[in-house]
Amino acid sequence: MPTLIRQPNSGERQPPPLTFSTSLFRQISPALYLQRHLLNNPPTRPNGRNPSQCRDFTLTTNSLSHAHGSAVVRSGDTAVVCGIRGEILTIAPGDDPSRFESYNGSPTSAIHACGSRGAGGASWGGLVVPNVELSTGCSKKYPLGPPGGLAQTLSDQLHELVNVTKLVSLDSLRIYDGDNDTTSKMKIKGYWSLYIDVLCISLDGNILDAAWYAIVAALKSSKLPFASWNQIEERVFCDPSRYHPISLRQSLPFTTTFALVPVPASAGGEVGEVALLLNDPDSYEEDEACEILTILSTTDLGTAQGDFSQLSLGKLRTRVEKIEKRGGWKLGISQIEDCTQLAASKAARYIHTLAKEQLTPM
Amino acid sequence: MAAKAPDRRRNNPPSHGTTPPVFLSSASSGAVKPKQSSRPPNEIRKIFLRTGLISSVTGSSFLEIAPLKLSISVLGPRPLPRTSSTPFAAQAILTTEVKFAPFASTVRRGYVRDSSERDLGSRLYQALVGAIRRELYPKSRIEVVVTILDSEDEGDDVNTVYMEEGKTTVETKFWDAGRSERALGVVLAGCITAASAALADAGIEMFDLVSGGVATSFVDEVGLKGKGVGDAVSNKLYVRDPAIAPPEGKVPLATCVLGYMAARDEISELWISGKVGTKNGTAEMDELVDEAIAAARSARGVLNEAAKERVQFIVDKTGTTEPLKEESTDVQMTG
Amino acid sequence: MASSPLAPEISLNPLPQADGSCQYTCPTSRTTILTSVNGPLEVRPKDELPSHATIEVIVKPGIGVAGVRETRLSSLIHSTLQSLILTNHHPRTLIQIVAQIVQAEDHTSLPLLLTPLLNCTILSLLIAGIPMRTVGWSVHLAVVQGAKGIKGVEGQVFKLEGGGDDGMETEESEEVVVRNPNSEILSRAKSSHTLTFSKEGDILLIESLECSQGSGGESADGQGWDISDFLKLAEEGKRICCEEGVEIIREALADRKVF
Repeated sequence: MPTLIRQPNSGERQPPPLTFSTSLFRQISPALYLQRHLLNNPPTRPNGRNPSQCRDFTLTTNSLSHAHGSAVVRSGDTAVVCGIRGEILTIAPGDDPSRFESYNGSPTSAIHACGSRGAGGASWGGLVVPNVELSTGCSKKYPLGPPGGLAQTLSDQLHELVNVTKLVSLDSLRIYDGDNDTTSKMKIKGYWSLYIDVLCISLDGNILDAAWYAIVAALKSSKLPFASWNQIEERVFCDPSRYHPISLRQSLPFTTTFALVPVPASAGGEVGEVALLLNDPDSYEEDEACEILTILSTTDLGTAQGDFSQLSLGKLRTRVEKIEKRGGWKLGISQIEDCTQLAASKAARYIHTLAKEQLTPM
Repeated sequence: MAAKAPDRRRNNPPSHGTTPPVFLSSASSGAVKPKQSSRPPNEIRKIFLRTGLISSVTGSSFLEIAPLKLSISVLGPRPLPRTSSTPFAAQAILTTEVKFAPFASTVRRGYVRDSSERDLGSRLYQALVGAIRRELYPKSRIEVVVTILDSEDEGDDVNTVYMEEGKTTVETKFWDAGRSERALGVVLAGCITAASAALADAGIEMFDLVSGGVATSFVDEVGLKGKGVGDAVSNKLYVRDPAIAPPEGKVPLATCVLGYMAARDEISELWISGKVGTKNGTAEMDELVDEAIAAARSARGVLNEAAKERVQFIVDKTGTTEPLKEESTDVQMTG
Repeated sequence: MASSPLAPEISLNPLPQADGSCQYTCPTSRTTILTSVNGPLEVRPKDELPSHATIEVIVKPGIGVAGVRETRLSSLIHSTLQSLILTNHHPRTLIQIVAQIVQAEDHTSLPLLLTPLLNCTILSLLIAGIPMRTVGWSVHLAVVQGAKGIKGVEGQVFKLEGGGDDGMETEESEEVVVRNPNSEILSRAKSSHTLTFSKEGDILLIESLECSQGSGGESADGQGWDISDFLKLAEEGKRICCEEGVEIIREALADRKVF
C-alpha cells in the first residue's frame, strides 16, 4: 500500500494534513505513485503485475472479409487491428526487377532506378509497405488528423523491422507469365506489393510489440489469389478460386519492449537511483519511464516445441536481430542479458498463441 | 496509377504504382452469385454491440452486423484548444469523423478521407447533434471518431473481368443502381446506433438515444420493365436492413436511412435516395420511412440492452453506482 | 587492438548567427552534417512545460522533403538529448536544434546518419553553452565477415578478443569489426551497431540491427547474433566512446575553454 506520510510534529499548531484519495494521488504525482508501488517487497506495479510480467494477450486472425490477411491483437488495454492487402505492381519492359528482391540492397542502384527523389527524405519504397494509424481516437492524448511524430516513428520502426527480419520471402511475391516455366527471370511480369496497415483501436502503451505481433500473425494467415500474366489482354489477372499463402521465414522473430523506471535505492546507506525494468509497459508507466529498450529476437524452442508448460528458459537458444535503447542512462549492460531471457520466454508465448490459431505447424 | 509525390508522413509503395487485383472469370462457370439471405424482409440482422472496450477514452463502442465492423470512440467533453478560431462557444461543439480502414472495402481506400467518408461524417453529425444536450457543456468540444474495419460493399464484382467466347468483357453481371446507397445506408445506420451507445458510455447527457434504421423498397424485375411503375406499387417488397444482394428477381427502387429517437418519436436525420413515386400521393414515401423507423426500433432494443449491460457491469464491479475506486485508503500529505 | 583511427573533421561555429553550430564530417563515409542550436528561446504556449525546457529537434534531409525516416531520427536524437540536457535550468523556454544532412552516401540509411548526427549535435550544444549533465559520444561499428579486399578502412578494423574459436576459422570467414563503415562496407556487413556512451560510460543509445542483404524468407533463418557477442561489442564501443571520443571533444574545444 503506497502512502506518503510525513509524521506531523507533536505540536498542536500543525495544520491538519492534506488528504488525497489514492486515485487523486495517482493523477497528481504519477512518478511518486509508481515509485511507491515499486518499492514494495516484492515490487508490484500499479497494474498489479510484477516487473518482469507481461500482459495477457489474445489473437484473432482472418476475421476481416476484404483483407487478404488480418489479425486482431489485444494486449491488456492495447488493441490493434492489422489488415494486409496485396496489390499488383506491373513491371514495364526494360525495368530491372532485381532491386525488389533484396532487403538492405545497396543504395546506388536504388538511386539509379528511382531517380533523385528516391534518394532521401520522403521516398518511394519496396514491396512490403507497413503503416500505423493512430488517429482513430485510440487515446485522448493522441490528436486526430494526419500522423504525428509517434505514428511516423512507429511506421518507420516497423518498416525497419520488416527489413531487418527479412520476414517475407520476396521471391514468392513474383508474378510470372501465364503459361511458361517459372525459372527464367525474364518471365517475371510483376510483383505482389503488400500493404500492411495497422490500426490502433485502443492505446495503452507498448504499441510496437502489439503491432509487430499483429503483422507477423496477419502475414502468416494471408492468402493471395494466384496471379499470372495474360498475354492476350496484356495484363495480370487473378484466379478467383485458387489462393496461396505468403512464404515467410521458419523462425519467426518477435519484439519485446521494456521500460526503465528510476527507483531510489538505499542499499548500504548510500542513496542512489537504480533503474527497474518493467516488461511490457502500459501507457502510465511509459509516461514515467526514462528509457525504453526493445529487443527483436528469434527463439529456437528446440525439443520443447508444442509442450508449452515444460519450457525451461535456460535451454532456449535465442538470437538477437535488433536492439534499440533510447533515452536515459541507467541501463546496465548486464541487464540487457536478462532482457533477452525474458524476450525468449515471451517469444515462446507468442509462438504458442500462434499455434493455437493453427498458423504454425507444431 | 502512381501518385504525384510520396506521402511525407507514411511509408510509400514502389514508385511504379500498384493496381488492385483483377479477377478473370469464365462466363460458363459464372461468378459466384451473392448469397441470398434467408431472413424474412421485416427482420434486421443480428447486431453485436459492446461499449466501454477502450479504456483511454471517455466513451467507446464496438458494433458488428454480419460483415460490418466498426469501432467508435468519444473524446471529451474537453476544453476547446487555446488557439481555436472560436474563442467562446455557448454550446458544446460536436465533431464527427468517419474513416474506413484501408482494408475495409473491396477496393483499397486511401489514408485521406474521401468524399463518401466526409458525407457519412456530416450525416452522422446531423443525426447526433440534435440529441445531445449541448447547452450543458459550454466552451468544450465533443469528438466522435468512427473507424470502419470491415464493411459489405459491391464485392468482387467490381474488379472481375468475364470471359465470353474467348473475349473478355468488363460488364458486371449482378449490378444494380442502388447498390452503393444500400451499402452506405447500412454503414450509416450502424454508425448512428453505435455512436449513441458510445456517447451514453461517455456519460454525455442526451435527450434520447438515437438509433439508426435502413429500409429499401424492391419491385419485381418484370414489373419494372413490362408494366408501368405505377402498377408496381401493389407488389412492392420492403426489406429492412437490406443486404447487398437484392432478393431473387427483384430490383431496388429506393433506400431510406434515418436516425430515430424512439422515446420522443422524432427523426433526427433522414436520407432517401432512389425512385419514390408521387402518383400515389405521399403514401409511397411514408411506407418506406415507416419501414426504416421499424428497423430503427429494432436496433433501439439492442441499444437499450447494451446500455443496461454496461450499467450492470459497473454496478457489479464496484458494488455501487459510484465511479470505481481502486483503493480505499486515502493518502495524507502534510507540511 | 585498433590503431589510431582517422579523426572526424570538425568545424566549429560555421553559422555565426546561431548560438552554437558545428559541421561534422565522418572520416570514411564522408557523411557531412551541419547543426545549429538556439536557446533558450521563447516557447510557443502550446509546447510550454512548467518546470522544464522544451527541446525541439528538426532533421532536414539532404535531398527532397522530410519523410518518416527523418522524423524517427529526430525522435531518437530528442530522447537522447532529453536525458543529457539539464532542462530544469531553463524552465518555460525552448531549445531548438536543427540538423541538416549536407552530404551522405545513402540518405535513407539510419545507421550511417545517426552517429554523425548525434556527435555533431552534442558538439554544437557545447558551443551554445546549453547546460548538460554530461557529454556523450557515438560510435558506429559494423560486423563484417572477412575484411579482405575492403579498401579505405586501414586502421579501422579490429577483432573482438576471444570472439569465436580462433583456431578453427580461416582468415576469410573470420568476423571482424569495422569502425565508421561507409556504405560499401555496410552493404557487406552482417550487423550494424550504433552505440552512444556518456563520458562516464553509461549507455545513452543503442541502435543495433542485423543488416545483411538477401531476398528474405527461409534464407533469413538463423541470422542475428548471440547476446554475448553483443556484450563484447558494447564493451569495445564503451572504450572507444569514453577514451577516444572524449579526447576528440576535448581537442575540438580546446581553445574555447568550454570543456
